[in-house]
Amino acid sequence: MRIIFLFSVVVVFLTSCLKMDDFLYNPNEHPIDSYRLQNYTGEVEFRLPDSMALADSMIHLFTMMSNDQGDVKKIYGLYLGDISKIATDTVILYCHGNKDHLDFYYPRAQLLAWVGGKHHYGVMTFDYRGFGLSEGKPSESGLYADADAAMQWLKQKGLTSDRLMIYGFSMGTAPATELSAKPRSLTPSKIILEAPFASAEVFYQDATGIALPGSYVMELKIDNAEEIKSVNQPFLWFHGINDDFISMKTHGEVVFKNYRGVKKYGVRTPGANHSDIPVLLTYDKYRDIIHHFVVGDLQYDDLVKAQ
Amino acid sequence: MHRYFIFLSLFLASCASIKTVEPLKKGEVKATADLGGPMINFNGIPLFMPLTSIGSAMGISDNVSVFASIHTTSLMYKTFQLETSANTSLFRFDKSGFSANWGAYTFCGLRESKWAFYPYADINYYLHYNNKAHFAYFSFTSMMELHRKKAFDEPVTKRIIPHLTLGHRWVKDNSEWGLELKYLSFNKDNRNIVVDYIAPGNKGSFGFYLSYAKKF
Repeated sequence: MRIIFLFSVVVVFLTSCLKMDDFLYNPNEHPIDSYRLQNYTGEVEFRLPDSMALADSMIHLFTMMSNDQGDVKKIYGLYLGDISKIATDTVILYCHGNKDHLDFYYPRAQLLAWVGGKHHYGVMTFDYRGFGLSEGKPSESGLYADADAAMQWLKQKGLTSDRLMIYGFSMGTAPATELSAKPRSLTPSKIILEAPFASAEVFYQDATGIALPGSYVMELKIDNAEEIKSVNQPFLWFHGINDDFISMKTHGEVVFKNYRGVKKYGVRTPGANHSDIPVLLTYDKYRDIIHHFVVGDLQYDDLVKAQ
Repeated sequence: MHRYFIFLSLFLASCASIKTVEPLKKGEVKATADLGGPMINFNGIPLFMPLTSIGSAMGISDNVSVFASIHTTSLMYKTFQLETSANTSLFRFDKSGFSANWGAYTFCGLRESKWAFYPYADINYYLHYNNKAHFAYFSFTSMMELHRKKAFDEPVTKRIIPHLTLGHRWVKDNSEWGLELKYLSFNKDNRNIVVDYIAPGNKGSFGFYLSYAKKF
């Protein structure tokens, strides 16, 4: 009897403990006590030359409230451009990846501020809850709520759906896809995904080498390859051919294939890994592709493909 | 970023625990505990995944033993994983022999009751020395992937999942300590996935396992 009781206690303990959901989030690997943005000297994926620096007057850091099913948190947002022109400008909403904070991703937002010329488009980005100095703890529903909070902020400043482009990188492809497929405050008119993952389950199957259900180890869904089927907006996809984190073959290609909307463009970047597509493409080419996509006259060629 | 995903290798490891190599004597019972898993690079440091299972083997006859184990690490992630197998002696010589295992891993998720079933077969060669107490062995394992499709209906390209094992058991009285080196899934490309497995030629993963068994 004692053995049965002890066995039961062990089983209950073992089956009540762990899931892998939290492993997706990697906030604040390099913690900060304030945002330094252009003056950040910590680890970043790439740095832009001094000639591409932005004027301090065009860098706006602020807080906003994000409501995830009643869980209201103060999160940080960053707008690069002239806030007074949001009512007439086209804006790229950038949803960053799973690491660190706005300081880490600042060069990426800065590069987008040069698409089509300096401050041709406004650029909005934000730290999800639990990232950087934003309050709270990361969660899948929190990613979507926080991206929507950024949309609400833009909407309050006069942005309309037809002038909103959404850009997701890596983990940020989840809110970008979700909010394009199931719009909330605004409906993005175009979607750009860089290094998207198909789903949490594909991560798991890639790692184990067998076709086990993802629910064996996590509750997380993040189902971009399914959500993209409901996206009708024009779609631009970047992926590094040598991406050793989110495989282009098992993740990106599946998302691209599953898209059924009006028009799609795929940029499989030779030599690029997970985080260096703008570098390997060259900044000029990267900006050029995005600009023409936003304008609507991007042409297919040896690099930009329909299939 | 990769280091946050190393635990995704969980079940690759679990599908490769230490098994019975030589049939027990009729009526003999053995309790086992295993620790080990595939080898990975963790921030440049080579490690093996410390995964655990507990089990029991029993001799049905002098030539046939049965074995069952529960993978406790899987259980911690709310997945019930049961391994069952039968070991039969094929050829037995003075100090060595060949045996075979026929078994299966049965999974059931406790979050969603999704079942999975992976049959396998092992061919083992074992060699006794030191007055027949300790023994070394070599095994070839072939596990079957029964699913034809993965997530999003992508085809499963590798239906056979092979492992090679080189092992040793130290036997003293009723206790048995074991050490195994494995080469797991050596037909599968291990590049461009979230886990940095350690293996030659970008195929599969090396594995390192320890075991303890007590005979009754």
